[in-house]
Amino acid sequence: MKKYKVNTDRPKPASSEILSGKNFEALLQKYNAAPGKIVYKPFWKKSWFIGSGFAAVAALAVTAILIIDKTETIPAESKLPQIVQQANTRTPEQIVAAPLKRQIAPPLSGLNVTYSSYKVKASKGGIVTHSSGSKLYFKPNAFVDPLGNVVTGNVDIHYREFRNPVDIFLSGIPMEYDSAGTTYHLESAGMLELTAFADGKTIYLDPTKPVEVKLASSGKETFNVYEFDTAGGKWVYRGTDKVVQIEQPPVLTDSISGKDRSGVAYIYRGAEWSWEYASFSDLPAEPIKPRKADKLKNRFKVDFIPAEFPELSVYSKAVFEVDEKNNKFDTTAAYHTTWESMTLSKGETEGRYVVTFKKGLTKLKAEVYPVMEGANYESAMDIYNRQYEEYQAAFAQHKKAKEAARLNYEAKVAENEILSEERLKNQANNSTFNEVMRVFTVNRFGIYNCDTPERLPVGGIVKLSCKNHDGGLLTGFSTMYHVDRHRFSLFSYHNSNPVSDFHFNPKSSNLIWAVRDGKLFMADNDQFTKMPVKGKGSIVLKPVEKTFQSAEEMREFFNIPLII
Amino acid sequence: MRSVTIKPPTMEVVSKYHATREDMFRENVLVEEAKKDPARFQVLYNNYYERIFLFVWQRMDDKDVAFDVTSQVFLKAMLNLHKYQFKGVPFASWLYRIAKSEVYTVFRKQQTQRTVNIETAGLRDMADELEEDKYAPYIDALKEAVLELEEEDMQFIEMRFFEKRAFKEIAEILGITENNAKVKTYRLLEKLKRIITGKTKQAKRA
Repeated sequence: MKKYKVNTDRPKPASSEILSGKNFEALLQKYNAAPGKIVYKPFWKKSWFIGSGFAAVAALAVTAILIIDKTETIPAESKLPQIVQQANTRTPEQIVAAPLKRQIAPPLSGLNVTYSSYKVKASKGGIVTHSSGSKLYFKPNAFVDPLGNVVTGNVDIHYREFRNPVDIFLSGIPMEYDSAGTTYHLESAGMLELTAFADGKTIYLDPTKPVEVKLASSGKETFNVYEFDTAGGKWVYRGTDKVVQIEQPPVLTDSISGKDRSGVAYIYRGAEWSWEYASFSDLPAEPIKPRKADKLKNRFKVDFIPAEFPELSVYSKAVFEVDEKNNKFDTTAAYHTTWESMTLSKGETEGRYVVTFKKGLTKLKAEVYPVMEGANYESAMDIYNRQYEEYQAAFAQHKKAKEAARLNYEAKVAENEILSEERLKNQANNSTFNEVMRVFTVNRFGIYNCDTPERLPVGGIVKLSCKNHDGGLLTGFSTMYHVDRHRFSLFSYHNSNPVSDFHFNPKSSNLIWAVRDGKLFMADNDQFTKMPVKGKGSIVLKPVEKTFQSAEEMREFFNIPLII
Repeated sequence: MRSVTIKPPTMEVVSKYHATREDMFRENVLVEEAKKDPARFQVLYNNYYERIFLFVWQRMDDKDVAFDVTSQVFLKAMLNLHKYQFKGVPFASWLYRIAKSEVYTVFRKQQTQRTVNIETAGLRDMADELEEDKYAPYIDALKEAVLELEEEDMQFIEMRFFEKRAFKEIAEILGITENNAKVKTYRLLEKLKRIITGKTKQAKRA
């Protein structure tokens, strides 16, 4: 039986005929009707949330978009425009993009962490410095529209940070994190949200031009970075941040910042500033003395790009002679093969080169050196002598400059030591000495969190009933929020009153919130002082009569420290 | 002094498939958007419909079946989009892989015979690649030799010479390295040369 049915030169259908078969509406209908399709349920309807089937959430795969690159160079500040904050006229509800709304439910209407607005010229990029000290580095032409076209003109950057449990509570962003079937709560070292608009429409980040984030934070430990998967309503691990101590470099005079004429450079390496020699790359390459061709040896002509081999400048008419000291040259293969390519590269020994011939998978290598034939040799020697004199003069000047640089270097080191001592004295009296920047890059807009997944607080586990003022169970609320004032997290318990396993640290300062019909209820630490550490416990949730105008006002009211 | 000559590549391959790194990343933005909102998949559907149809149709005899399979390819793509991870190659390579799988599913389920659409121009290119002018009159022999290839080998010849795909594209569709695709194709050309030579000798003896 024949393996194939054969058509020869069958006419190709016209594009119009092919495109007549297109029907996206029908495809979308099939997709919606398909049993295997992914349905983006709100997180409170998900099986992991309801209780039993943690595994179901794992189905949502999200590609790794965030690039954590510890070695990435911080963009030169001088090359990017500094961006000034604009008056923000949008509310967080207007700013939160539609897909985010599905999984993020701010509990108190009209009260949220406000965004700061920055206007960036898309073609130039820029550095946004937030009031917290955090910095965002946008590269030129980093924004694209939904079709992937580069956005030009002005772009509105909307940015906000969440710096304490009140901020997290008001944002409505869940803090649970599932890993291998276990639910953790993310304990934050800094959380941010970054979005952008052009002409009022949501725009995107070109993933090839990531934004470098330097998030002002505290603590010296490295934290994980998570991105909130807005479709799946869960946090996705993206990598780790890099912690950079905020240290001001010593005060320098303008004349010596950067590379100065004497060859000393002021260089930042890791968390250290130091003086180093600048590279002396302007020393010309020593020319190679021409060599006469040996008629008995194999040789061939190679056209090379002079800029790639400046030391061969006197060899413009050179041929390359094969050095057979180490390897016998296979002349039969070399001269009887139609090679497809030939490359010249520097050899391991000074003045030696390697020629590589290739055809398919066959390779032939030969160690070669340049030689001159006949009159070409004489003229090459003339050029060489002249170039060698120039080289010697340049070398002497270079040596002199290097010595001057050494003396200058030593003077700067001494000066730097004095300045460092002064700085250390200042730091001893400065409370912000331990502040750090958490550095990472993101290549799409969204919500990011420098976190560590933590278990629930330890010390007490009770079956906790939330009661109203008359002693009955308080009904009509879906989530109970627990704040441990010594930790930057927000522990949530959903759809259950009493809560069967309420975890708390009796030695800490605890606070409970719940929202019913848009109204905030609370139970403060005084109710925890008498709480047993096991068995049954209860609290009375009282309505909060005060109306808050800002997250800051609410934080102060509940006496919650800033934490970071 | 003896000289070394370099033979320039012979066959020119023009493909819509080639994408710059930036194009690919931008396309990935569309993919990520489509993951969140299936309606956004339309941009990708519009971009690739014709190319996927032609890929399917090249391997099938019935145009209506090819249309059905093409729809099925995009449906599968939408249903599995959440699994798609950008690996530095164009999104098209993922679609082609789905298309290849769907085509074979149809052959298996409907017991339909695999179709090969041979282009005479493609056979001429093959004869050129064989670097032997004497093969030019033997296009028919070459055609016969091609049809003796097993499916696994046929796809290289088909994609390279009848669909005019670059080695890079072939490699990405088949999930192998570009060099591997090149080596495999040239080995197959040698194999075809041997088949033709063997048949010619047999004919002479007879």
